[in-house]
Parts: sequence; C-alpha cells; structure tokens
Amino acid sequence: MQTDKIRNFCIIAHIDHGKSTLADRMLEYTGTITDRKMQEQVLDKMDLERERGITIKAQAVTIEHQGYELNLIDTPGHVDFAYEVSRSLAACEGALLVIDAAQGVEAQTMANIYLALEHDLEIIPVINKIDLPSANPQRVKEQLLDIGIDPDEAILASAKEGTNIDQILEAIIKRIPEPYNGINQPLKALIFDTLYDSYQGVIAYVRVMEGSVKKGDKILLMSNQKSYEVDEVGFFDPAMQKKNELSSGEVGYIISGIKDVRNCRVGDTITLKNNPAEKALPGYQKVQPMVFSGLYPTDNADYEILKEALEKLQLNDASFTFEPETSEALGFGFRCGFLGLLHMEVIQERLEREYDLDLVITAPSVEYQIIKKNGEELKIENPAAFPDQSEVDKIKEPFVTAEIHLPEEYVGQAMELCQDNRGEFKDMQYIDQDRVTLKYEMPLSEIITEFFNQLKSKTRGYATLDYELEGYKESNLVKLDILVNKDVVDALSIIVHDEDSYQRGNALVRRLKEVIPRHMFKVPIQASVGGKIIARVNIPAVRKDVLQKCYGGDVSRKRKLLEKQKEGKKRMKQVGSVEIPQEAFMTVLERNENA
Amino acid sequence: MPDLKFKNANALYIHLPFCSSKCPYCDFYSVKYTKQRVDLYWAALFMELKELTQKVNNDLLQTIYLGGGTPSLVEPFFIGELIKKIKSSFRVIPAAEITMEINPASITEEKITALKRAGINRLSVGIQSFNDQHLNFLGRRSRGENNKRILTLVDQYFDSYSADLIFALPEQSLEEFESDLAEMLKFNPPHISLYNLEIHENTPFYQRYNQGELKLPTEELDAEMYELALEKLKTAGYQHYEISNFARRGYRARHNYIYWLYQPYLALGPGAAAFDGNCRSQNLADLNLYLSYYNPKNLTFAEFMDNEGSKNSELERRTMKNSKTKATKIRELNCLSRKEKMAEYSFLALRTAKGLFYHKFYRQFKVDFKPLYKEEIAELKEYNLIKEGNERIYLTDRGKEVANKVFLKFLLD
Repeated sequence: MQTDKIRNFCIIAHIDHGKSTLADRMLEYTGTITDRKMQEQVLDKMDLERERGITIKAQAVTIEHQGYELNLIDTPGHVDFAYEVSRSLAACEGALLVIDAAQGVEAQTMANIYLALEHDLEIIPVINKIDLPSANPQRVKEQLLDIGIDPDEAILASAKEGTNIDQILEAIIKRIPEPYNGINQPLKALIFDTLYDSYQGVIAYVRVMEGSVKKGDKILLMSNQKSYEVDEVGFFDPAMQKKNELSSGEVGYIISGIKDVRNCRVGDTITLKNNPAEKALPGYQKVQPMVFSGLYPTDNADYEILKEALEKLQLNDASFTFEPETSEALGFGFRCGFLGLLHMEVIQERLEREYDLDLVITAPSVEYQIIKKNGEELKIENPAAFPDQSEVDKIKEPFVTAEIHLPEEYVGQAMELCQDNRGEFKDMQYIDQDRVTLKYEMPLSEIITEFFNQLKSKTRGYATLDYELEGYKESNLVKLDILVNKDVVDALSIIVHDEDSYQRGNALVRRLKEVIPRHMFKVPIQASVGGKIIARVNIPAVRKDVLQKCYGGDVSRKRKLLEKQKEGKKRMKQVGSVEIPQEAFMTVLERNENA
Repeated sequence: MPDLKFKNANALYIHLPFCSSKCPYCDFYSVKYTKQRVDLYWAALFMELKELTQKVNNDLLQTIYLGGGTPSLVEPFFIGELIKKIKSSFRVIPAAEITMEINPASITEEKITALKRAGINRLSVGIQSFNDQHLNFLGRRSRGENNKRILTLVDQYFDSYSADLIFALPEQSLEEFESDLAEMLKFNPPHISLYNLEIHENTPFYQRYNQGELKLPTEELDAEMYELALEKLKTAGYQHYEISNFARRGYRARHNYIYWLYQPYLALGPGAAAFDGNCRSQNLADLNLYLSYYNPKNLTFAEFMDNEGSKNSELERRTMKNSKTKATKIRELNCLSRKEKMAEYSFLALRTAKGLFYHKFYRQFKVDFKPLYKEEIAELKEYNLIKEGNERIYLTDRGKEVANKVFLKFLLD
C-alpha cells in the first residue's frame, strides 16, 4: 500500500468516555466487522479487561475505507503500563481524543493529551455522547479552548447511536498525516505488543517505520541481536489475515518462530539480518519489574499447578517474572515481579480465575539494596530475607518522580498525602486556570501500598498519577516483624521507615486482630523491630460459639452452617497452631488511618 | 418423586403456620392468621395426614408436637379434631407427650382448659422475657405482667409445660437478664428453654443487623449470661440436659429428645421437616401451594368431613392422583451421605448432657468412633471442651459455650 493511502491512529480517552464503543462503531460502519453478533467492545479481549473497563494488552485492527488503510491501535490505559502506552503512541501519527459531552474534560484527558503531544501526534477532538440529555458540547468546546485545542476542529458524535462516524473517518483521512515513506531504506519495525500462541510462538505486533518485510526474510532483533526466519506476516481485521509483505507505514504482525516472549520485547526494533538498519528506533527500554510479592498456594498440593500457571502467563508477558521461594509460614511458593500494583492484581486474578487457584499473597515490596558492614552488597525484594539489623550498614531504596495531575481544589489534600508518604515536594505547575501538576520525589515503596487508592479517594477520582524511576537513595529503613502467638511469621514482615515503625506496627497488629479469628486459646500479636517489641494486642480466646436452638427442622441447616465454617477454615493458612486467613497477608499494606 | 419410607417412627411434628404478626427475629414459616385460612388448612392437613399413613410402617407414636407459627390462635375445636384424627390414624401410646406451643398474647384461661380437654398434655409457652422494653423490641405483643398471669394459669392447669426465655439482646445488661431469670424461677416451671438471640437470614433483624443498627452483645457478655443461667438453674434444681434446655427431674422434652437421638420423625404442614433415618424431606414453605395441592376444591373443614364420609370421594381421588403423578412439587427430599449422617449424629448426640455413646455410634454406623477421631478427642480434652466418661464423650460447660468448635471436629471431609 502506498503510504499516502495509510493512516495510523489511536484513541485516547478518560475511562468511560466511550473509547471502545467508538472503535466498535467504526468497525461496523466500514464493514470491517459484519457479524452483528460480535461481542460488545471487540477490542478488549480478556474478561478481566471487559469487567474492569480497562485495556491491558494493546490491540490493533486495520480498517479499509474509501481506498485507505486506517490502522487503529488500542492502547492500555493505566500508569503501570505507561511504557507500553508510549510504544503504541510511537506507532501512530494521530489520535482521536474522545471527550464525554456530559462529563467534559477530565484529569486523565489532560494526561492523555500530554502524552499525545509528546509523541507529536495530530489530535482530532471528538465530543462523544451528544445523545445524552445532559450533554453540553458548548461547555466542552470552551474547555478545549482553555487547553489550547481549536474547538472548531471538534467533531460532535454519538458512538452509541452511530452519529457522525463518517465525519470522524473523513477527519482521520484528511487531518492525520500520512506515515513517512521509507520504503527504500533498511527495515525498521517497531514492536508495540506481543502475544504468545502455542502453535505459532510469539506474534509480534509491529508498525513498520521503514523498509519492508516478507515471509522467508531473516530478521534481527536489535536489542539482543537474535535472528529468526519470518514464517508469516499479516494484518488484523481484527482476526489475523496473511499478507505477502508489510511495508513502510503499515501495521500488522510478524510470526517468526520465536518461542520465548522475553526475546521479543515491546519497544524493540526488528530489522533484516542481511541489510540491517544502522540504528534502532528510539525509546526502547527493557522493562523491569518494580513490585514484588510472594504467591503461595493455600493448599501446598497446588504448588505444581501454580508453577505451570505462572509459566503459561509468562509466555504472554515478558514484564512479569517469578522464581521459587520458601517461607517458614507459607511453605513453597514464588516471588513474583510486576510492573506495578494493577499488573500484580491482574496476574493474581487471572491465576485465581483461569486456573482456579486459591492463593495467599504477601504484601508487595520493592527491591532494596543493602550494604552490609562487611562491605557485602545485597539486592533483596523479600522483607523476610533481610539480614539482621546489626549487620546492616546502609539500606537504599528506589525513589520515583511522581507526577500528579489534578484539579486545584484538591491540591491541599494531595500534598498532605504525599508528605505522609515520605514525599519530597519538587514542583507545582498550573496547566490552566484550575488544573495543576504536582511533582514529588517519593519512595516507590510508599506508592505501591495504598497511595494510589487514597489519592483517588481524596480527589474524588480526579487525580491521575504517573511515576518514573529516579534511582536508589539511602533511607533509614528497618524491618518490622510480626509475631503471632510468639512466633515470627516471616510472610508478614515489612520494611518501613524507622520514624513510622511505631505507628505502622500498632496499626498492623490492630488490623490483624480484626482479621484473625478467635481461637480456643488467647493469641498474642506483636510487632517487633530488631528484636524489640514495639506493639502488642491479644486476640482473646473464643468465648461463645454455639447454635443455641436445634430441633427437627434445623438439623440440615445447622450441618450446612458447620460445613461452611469448616470450608472457611480450610482457606486459612495454619501457622503453628494459629489459623491465619489469606487476607491477613495483604492487610500489612493497608494503612489504618484511624490507628 | 422418591419419598420417605418411615419405619418405627416415634414422633410427629405438625406445623401450624399462622401468626397475628411476625416477630422480626423469627424465621419460621408463617402467614397472617385468619379463621378462613385455618378452616381450609385443616381440610388440607387431614389430607396430608391420610397420605402419610400410607408411608409409615410399624409406627408407634410417643410424642406429638404442634408448633408454629402461633398454634394458640387456632380454635381448640380444631386442635381436638386433629388429635382425635391422629389417634385414629396412627398407633399412639397411651402416655404420649402431646405438646402445643402457645403465645401469652393469644391465650385465655378458657382456651387453656379447652386445650387440655382437646388432648394436649404439655404446653410450651413463648415467654421470651418479662421486660416490657425487650418484649416490645422482639415484636412480642404480650407484656411482662401478662406473661406472669399466663404462666400462673398454665401452672394451675398443666402438670408439664415449658417456658422459653431469650437472652443476649442488643443493649441488654447482665442485670436485666438476671432479673428475667429470677422472675422465671419464681414460677418454678418444670421445663425451661433458653436461647440467645440469633440473627437469621431473611428476617427484619438480619437487615437491621447488616445495616449496623443492631449491636449484639459481645461474646464475653453472651457467655457471662449463659454461665449465670447455668449456675442459677442448677441451684434451683434443674438438670441441664441439652445445650439450650433445662428440666426438673422427669420433665424433659421427650419430643425434642427424639431429634437429638437421631431417630425418625414424621411431619405435617408447610415448612415442616421429616426424617426417616436416611433422608430428610421438607414440605415447601408455601401455604397457598399446600392448599392447592391438598385441598384443591377449597373445602371448608366441615365440607371436608362430610365428604370424608363417602368412600373414595372425588376429593380423595383427585388428591391421591395429584400426589401420585407428582405434577406439583410439594416437598424437597434430601438423602444424606454416610458422612453427613455421621456428622449429624455426632453433633446432635453431643448437644445432650449424656453425650455421644461409642456403642450407639457403632450400632448406627458400624465403625468405632474413638479410633476414628483419636486426635480430635485428645485435642478437645486438652482444651477442656469435652470429657470422656464410661464409653462416651460429653461436653463440659465450657464446651457447651463453644459447641460449634467441638462439632466442627466431627465433620468428615
């Protein structure tokens, strides 16, 4: 296809502003999808994505319209996947900015506009949901003017009713620049996502920036210099369709017998072995997991199943890591690395849902660098593995620069929250009259606890958070141990700032008192730092637990109640003689504000 | 539809699902009382009774229990007819215990004597409390003074009766409960049932509880009240013969004892549950369904009795056909696995003061209890929740308080 007949674009929107519906309508309008029975929101494939209303994996589809090839790339939408998003945007020349006519411009809209501008994308504003009685397109236009976008360029649409889809398609053709024509140069194809297929191996989603690629070509991955022979190239309609060649400006896929997704990473450049490009495309990073937590089967017999499940998930997700780990309290499990909390939740949910596993999950941790007094350096991402405090000279932890976009009225609360989480104020800038960007330097460990949720709740959902790893810095950190019935439960240990240790220790033992059920005997719960007890509560022995009334009609019901109780006990982890429910292991990351 | 086959049933329960108002804590099935409903119901009940006679074999009833609902709303005439009918349909021992529940709000001296004449020989009186505030909270229509008056009357006419008391109410103090208990003991009733307030699903209290409106007493206070009752009742000469039941010598509830001994029992009426030793069946808790099934022609009781005279009446043919083709589902049948039966047997037996006898368990299941639960027995003994006697185990007072923890140990995977 001639590059002047190609347009590559993405859709950016605040959650619920109608991104997926608009994509569906364009597919229908252009006849890309004729099957009316298609599931709503074709592009979000996983159940999980559909339920949460988020996109986790990028998707692509080629739309044919009036002799043009329009390539839509759907991007993931969460801070954990910021890098993946940036690679998707790098594959486009333009973006549809979808704004809800009733809700107007929202915080996330701003963040998205910045991203799009950073990648030099042509922005086409679409004011969606004009069919709503509460729609106020005029107000949205004023807001657009405020943020420096020409409101006259905006297209009024209703994706739900299919209004003005034709205008949007026309704008894509007319306003978005055609891709650069580098057909005569060596191949440079940008990988913006990958998918693993058990028959075909890794499927690389690519945008060809320069040159061309066809079946039989010997390709080279520029970051690791590995080479493969191309089995198949093609495009998405949205199913995979074979094609002879992918050339400069086009979007599609390359299958080349890569067996390990880790050898084919998002952001890498594919070139030809015999005619390689001089330089890779800019922006490639080898994504490193930043958040770690232990995953243990509740039933130790499920260890092998968990291992297989993790292996399968990793086939599709190079950013997720795992290695075996043993806990005194929890037995055999795995220490897993994730991009962020959402990534962690998504993986955990898939394990429980798709593999029917019952898991105990330890609180997330970051990777610490420890310099011991004897000069030895350690990297530790499991608090339980921390060396004795007396041997430690210095501890360093990862810091990030956090950027928070939010309406001005919430600045006070957000700043307070940042300070409570050891944030150091760096900068504050007004985006417009009432929108602000706050910049803080913060320990990553603070961000991966409840920070994001609290930020959301304190700003009624308006704040968005982006963060970027800054580097390691020394901190005054200590290991906080929890003793249940006098025994240290290694899986409950956390690393905290020395100044917070009393407060965290107290909050934690009280929280554990709420979640650990009463036993036949009194169970003391203690928090200790360096062997010194700093907080203590007792869970009193059970005093009364009896179904008082039991006659002819009650017997079955009472038995079922008992069976239910027993089932509940099974889901707990037996640590010594104490039964600890799964949620206890996650409570360590909750900050009890009332404590 | 498969059905129960009763052999050697000793007990019959009859549910009378009528109340003038529904107490917000109660999850027993009931509908609003009207004379007409009872009239139609009686015809249906007689039909079910007739059907039941064909399912029993070698029955010898030792107890009959009329529960509710509020049986005392029903006119004693109907009660008398029913007891006559039962006695002519089943073999009933001469000294059978025939109990009926009564509500102090819907009973009079006249009714009490009429019930006695009708054949009732034991009353279970729903006192619940003598404290007007608590009675009001529980949705009871009787008040403290009336409760005392009724107890006096019951005591005057009935040798055997039971009185219910509820404790562990929201905001109830230990002293308030103590005075309820003291008031009760003034009457020295032959039998007392004692229940802590339980919050059941599908009751108004459940909703209020979930919305945080009802604050139940702490486990500690609940336990203190129970311990107080144990002490006071023991001093007053009562035997604590089951977790919730206390009796003077010779006045145990024989009917309920049959449940705890895991023996078969028959049942009649919507919502009522029967057990044949292997399966349990429960009539669906739906009076309209019950009436349309057993009294499709809407006959009054008098009309039914007229009809009854003519052999193979139309009604009977229809009803019998109805129940044979089983076009309508009238009850749930649930047959128990061996493990389920073993669990039920264990926790029912352990509810009684005598506890679980190893040889009886063996007779029932052909497996030795003691080796089967060796570790559990040792652990429970260590926590002083059970004691081992001569070839049996039984709950300690502490064990009675946390009986669920004990029962859990005897559920098999």
